[in-house]
Amino acid sequence: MSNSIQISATWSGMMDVVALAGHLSLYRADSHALALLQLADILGGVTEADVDRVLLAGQRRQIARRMLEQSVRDRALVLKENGRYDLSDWGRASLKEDKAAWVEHSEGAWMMLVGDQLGPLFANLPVLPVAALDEKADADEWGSLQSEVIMAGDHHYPGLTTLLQSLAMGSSFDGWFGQRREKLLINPLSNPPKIRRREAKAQLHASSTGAGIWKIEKIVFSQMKSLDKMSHGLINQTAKGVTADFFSSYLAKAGYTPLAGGLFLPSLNKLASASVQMDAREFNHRLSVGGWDVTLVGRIGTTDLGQALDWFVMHGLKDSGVQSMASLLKQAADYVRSVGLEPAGVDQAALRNAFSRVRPVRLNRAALSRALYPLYFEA
Amino acid sequence: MSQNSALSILARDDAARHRAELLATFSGRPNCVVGAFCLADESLLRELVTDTLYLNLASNNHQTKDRIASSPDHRAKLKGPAQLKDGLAGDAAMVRAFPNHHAKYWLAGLGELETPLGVLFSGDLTSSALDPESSAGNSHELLLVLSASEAMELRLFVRWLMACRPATEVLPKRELLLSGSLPRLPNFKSLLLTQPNKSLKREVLALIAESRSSLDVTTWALAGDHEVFAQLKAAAKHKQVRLLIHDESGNRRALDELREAGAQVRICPGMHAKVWIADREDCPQAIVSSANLMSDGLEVGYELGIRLGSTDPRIAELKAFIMARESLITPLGPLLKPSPRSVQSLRDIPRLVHVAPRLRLF
Repeated sequence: MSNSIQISATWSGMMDVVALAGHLSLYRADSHALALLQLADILGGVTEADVDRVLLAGQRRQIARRMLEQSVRDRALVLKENGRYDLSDWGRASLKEDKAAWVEHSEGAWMMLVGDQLGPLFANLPVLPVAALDEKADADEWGSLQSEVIMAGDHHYPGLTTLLQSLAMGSSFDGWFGQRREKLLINPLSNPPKIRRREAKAQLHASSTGAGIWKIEKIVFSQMKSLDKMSHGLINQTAKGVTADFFSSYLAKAGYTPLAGGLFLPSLNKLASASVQMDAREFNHRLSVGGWDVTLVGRIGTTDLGQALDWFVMHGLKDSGVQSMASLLKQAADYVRSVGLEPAGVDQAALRNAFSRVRPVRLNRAALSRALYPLYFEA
Repeated sequence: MSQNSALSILARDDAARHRAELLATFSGRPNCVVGAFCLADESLLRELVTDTLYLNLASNNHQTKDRIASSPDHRAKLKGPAQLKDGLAGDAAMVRAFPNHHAKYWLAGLGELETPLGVLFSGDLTSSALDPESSAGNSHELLLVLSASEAMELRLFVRWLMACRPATEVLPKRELLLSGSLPRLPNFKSLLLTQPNKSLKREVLALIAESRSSLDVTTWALAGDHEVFAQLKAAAKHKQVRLLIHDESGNRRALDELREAGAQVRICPGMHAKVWIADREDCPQAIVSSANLMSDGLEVGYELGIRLGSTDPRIAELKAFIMARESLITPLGPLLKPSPRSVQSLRDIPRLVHVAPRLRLF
């Protein structure tokens, strides 16, 4: 086995939920807005009459005007001095790349989880869950934030600041909207949006193999059922976050000795410190980092072969059925290597001694009997 | 109190004592192995506190109908591979199945540095052997604690047995492919085997030959198609041969032959221990084994036995075991050999089995 690190982390507490008020647009393929952009592209700019004639059979002049005005609000068209509506750079680029166009969805207040409390493990939620706010429900729970203040930079809301600044530049964002992941746009006319905020009791579980990619395993809101529905899309999403090295300083502070290969030797006499607790049964290490409870499994090394074999017996032995002595020795040697030692000296006698000192913590009696079979009957 | 109820109480008390003794002896000991023919009741093994547990049973493929029918718990539900996989083999023991495995043993201390502790217990892992509350009644079983050297030999036997093929694991269901060569059968001073060297049969024949005045035999099943039976029948003509035997219709023909030769027969419903004692009144010697008095036991299967010399204090236990039951059962009268003309119907043949009421299980 390898000593690859496994990290699981749980954030529990009151999480900020913000609601941005404004026109929300969706990015749609095969829409009337796309047809309008394509027409503007072909004709080198369009007028109300062009739109009415080509797209609306000459019967809907007012509709043609509203379509053009919406496209301007969506920043896809610009009104030229000659009275024609032409593609903006944005509209031209989106038409070229995506064969899609913005379509106004509706005006309202949109709840989002910005994830400002999720540092320092990862900066933002990978996808913004977005849901319409029922303004009558829990109205007392919601307060206001000053958009301009946040946009100027507020260390309490770094993620929200980034979002508002990005929206102000007309950028879209990825959101989990309804049951689908969507490209979303708060229309420029809504910028800066009014911001409302409330807290909701939440618990979020994430995991990582230490390479900087985190997976959201679960998120639960115990107070707001509407948020539960909104958070559905977050589960199994991945996000960039800290790597395993981030935790090295925490281990070092707790008295762990760094070894070669990124391994750490825990203090054998003192398996707990104020900041790191070692659970000898589960062979993991628990840290508190910011608002997170982090559990690290692996990356633990030793300089003592007996210690390594004890760990192998207690934590490394797998329920792999009956195996040969050669296979058992290989399993032990691989483990010893993974905790930073050369496997010379891993033999039947050494394994027997280890089994006489300690027992596996997770195997039931049947599995343990199968695992020990070669030691008893193949000698 | 009728003969039979007194016998039942004796068997029930023994079942309670054996269960308690096995638990007390093996709980808290590391690394145990239990051998039996079949398993119907796994409660005792679950109660057993030990780090590892290996259970060796007979493989179903080789459990003939007759053999299962003659098991003390043939009416109980014997557990096959599927039930073992979902039960004991899943969480409490590594279970192996050997063809014709009929040896019965309990051993603790498999590790080289551990002191082995062994017991030969004639019972299977069944409620009749080990549950005094068994609704079907209890069988008559014998528990013999092995000496240190005998237990050491038992450990060697178990190690040798584990390397024997064919054998299947109940979980995972596959043949073992272990490294190393199969071990040679060790030279045993005390343990007697049927497979592979038939030392049990040789010692039984020697015991019959060496007995001067009497032979006491207890068994569950009896058949007349093998050498030991022939020697026993011959001995019955000039020595006192006493049999305590289970009430089983399959035994009848061979029993008639022995009675005809002069053997004294007592029917003991549920007798499951296999004991031979020569000259029990004077300088007794004995063999305790798992083998029935039939070719399956003495020529074919994995069986285990032990010979006890005249100075062995355990012989007193064997004598007490037999005599306690003898005292409760009147021997069958001499076999009347009817002339062919006088036989009008099967009802004219003296009934061999007269002990009533029979234990329901048997």
